Amino acid sequence: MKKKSYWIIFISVLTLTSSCRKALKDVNDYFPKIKTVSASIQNDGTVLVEGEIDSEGAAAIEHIGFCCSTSQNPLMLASQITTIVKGTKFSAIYSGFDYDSVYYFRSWATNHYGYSYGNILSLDSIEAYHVYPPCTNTMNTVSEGGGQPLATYTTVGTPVNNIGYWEFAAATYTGPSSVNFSFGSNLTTGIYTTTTNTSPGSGEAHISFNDGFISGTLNSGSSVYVNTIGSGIYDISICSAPWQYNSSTFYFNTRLTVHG
Amino acid sequence: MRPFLKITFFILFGSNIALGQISVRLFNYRPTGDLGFVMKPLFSAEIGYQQSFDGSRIRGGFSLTYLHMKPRMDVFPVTGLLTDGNGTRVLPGEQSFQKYNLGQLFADMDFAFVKQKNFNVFMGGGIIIGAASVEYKANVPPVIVETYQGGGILGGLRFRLGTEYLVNDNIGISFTANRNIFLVADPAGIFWANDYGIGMRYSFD
Repeated sequence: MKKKSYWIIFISVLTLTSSCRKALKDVNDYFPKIKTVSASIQNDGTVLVEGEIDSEGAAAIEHIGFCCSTSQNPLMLASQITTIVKGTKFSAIYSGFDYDSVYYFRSWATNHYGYSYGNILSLDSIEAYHVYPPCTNTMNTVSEGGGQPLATYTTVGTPVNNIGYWEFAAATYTGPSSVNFSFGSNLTTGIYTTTTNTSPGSGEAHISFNDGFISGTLNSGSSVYVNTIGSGIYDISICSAPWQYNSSTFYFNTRLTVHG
Repeated sequence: MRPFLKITFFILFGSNIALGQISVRLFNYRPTGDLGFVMKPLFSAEIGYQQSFDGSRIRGGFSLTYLHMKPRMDVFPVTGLLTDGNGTRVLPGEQSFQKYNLGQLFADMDFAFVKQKNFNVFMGGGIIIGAASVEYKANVPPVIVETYQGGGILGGLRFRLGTEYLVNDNIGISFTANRNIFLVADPAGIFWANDYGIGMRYSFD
């Protein structure tokens, strides 16, 4: 009888104490606790935002990410980026900033019970670090090489977004009648790579020109240096970029300022 | 008269009263699990009929209670997912409870595994039936915009451990800990709760 009683007590205690989690004292402990650790400008003008999980809350984290806005209190849907967790850290990269605006970054995370935000970090005057071309061409000039004289641009077009390509043309009286620039992504500070493909990808540029009966396209693999020198103003340099005419190789140099 | 009140009336003043055993219990109700996340602990009372262990290790009883629950937050942060041509986004939203009340009836059986002249230690179990009355608002635009008013029947089980001290032939004082599990039909959910209380059983005999 005594043995039976012990079993009964054991089963009863087990029933009374198991099966379900006791309610947490502080309701906020159910939600994830996270912090926005840093928001740092990268060389290419993007912003790397990093966060850290202090606590998952009362359930595993389901979604985690960042939001970003020019509003001082960015909410989850504002430029939302969802990301993955590595250990306790998570990160995302934002791009496409207006130099004149202040941007606010905030982390967020969700679990079975709901969601919570991390702290807010702000950055202003976001721009890429300048890139330095290996030559110093005279501003607003172009030389297609082969002993042709240096020509000055008389007109420089405004870049337009032509279904994914940022394109503009520049012209001279004494040199190329038109130099056509086509970038595969928004103009921003950075080094683009030339391609002969008329549909350049992100980070690529297709540069071609006409000079009388001569037309040329810069070979693939040369660098196009773009610096943002003001809001929507870009300084573009190309140093000794090879191009082919018949079986000869010539070297193209230019520097110009573009107003976007 | 509502069925709930009819049953209450039957329990308190029906045939069982002839047996002359009435019990009152004050308890602290502590929701656990998801219900414990949403609702605060509360104090309430349970009243009913309960037999004594006189001459037997087994006794039965009926009782009822009403739980007027209060949410732990005015507004709970909730989320939804939206997948469309722009990809999948996590949507922030909120949910608030205006009402969450439970009426519960219990039918229990206890077994006294320690039975002495003035002191019993017992374990038991029983069934729970009742109804929930619920009102809430959920807003996760554009995927959820909902105002709910209603409720549904509930059913479940409870298990308990308790002690009873017999003050005299008519009065017994008890301490009981219950583990409750019940399923609410609408809004649907399975919920858990513990309660701890002090009760008094009075015999008119």
